Amino acid sequence: MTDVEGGAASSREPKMWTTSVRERAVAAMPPEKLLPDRQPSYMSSWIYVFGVASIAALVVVIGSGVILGLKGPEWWHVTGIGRFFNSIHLWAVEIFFFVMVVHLWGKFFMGAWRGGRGRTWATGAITFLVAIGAAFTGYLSQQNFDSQWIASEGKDGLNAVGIGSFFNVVDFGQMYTFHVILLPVVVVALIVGHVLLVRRHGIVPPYAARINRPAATPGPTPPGSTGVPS
Amino acid sequence: MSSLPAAALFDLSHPARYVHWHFFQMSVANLIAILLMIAIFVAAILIPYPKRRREP
Repeated sequence: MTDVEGGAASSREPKMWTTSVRERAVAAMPPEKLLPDRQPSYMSSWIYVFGVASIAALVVVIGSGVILGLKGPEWWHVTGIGRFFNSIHLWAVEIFFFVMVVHLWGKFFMGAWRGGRGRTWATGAITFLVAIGAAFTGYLSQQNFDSQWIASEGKDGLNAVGIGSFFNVVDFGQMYTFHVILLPVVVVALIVGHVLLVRRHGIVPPYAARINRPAATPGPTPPGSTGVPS
Repeated sequence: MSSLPAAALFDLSHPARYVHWHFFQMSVANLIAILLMIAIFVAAILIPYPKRRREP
């Protein structure tokens, strides 16, 4: 441990793990990269809005989901305010997927994996897949005939691919735990990692413009020349 | 259900309508959502982003 009372620490002393973690974190993510002052000019486009719109929708999804979880199924099915928050949760999820798909299309056509941004692309793609699972378990957690129907239909498909014993869609307790804890934690962790990678590597620059110069028009053939370069 | 107040702009108490054309089959609701996503994607590319006013 560093002796703070004795003045400057000796360079021979082993570093604390906290020091190593801090130094590596600051080296990987300096504050001016984490919260930059400026962004490239090509970021001035509406297509860059959909990433942060996805995060905004997710905040509403989680906030309304917490309230639904605290109040319970009877509240969200029977009372007016409960149905209101149920609808807020549903439509926030719809908007979340809507803007996330537009974000995905934009990044696909930008080739957002270029320039060492493969992990940024991969974390985004995995987040999308995990979010589909989170939404699916949400349909199973409604506690109504709709969720029973989806569970009875979904179990056959999942049993057919051999994962029914690990992911039992007719087990409400298991699906509810997946929906309110396990998958949201994974989605949020992936998004935090995704945003940090975007901050570290920056947004992908546009493809280089193709300049189509007109073909050089041949001049008059000098006398005695065949016109074919030798 | 008639005893409940109208909770939706459209009557949802019927089976979903589907578009079926050869092998292609999709509910009208999903088709509208996808067309809306394409429209917003194109609009996001074409509509210019407002420029920040420079301070004097």
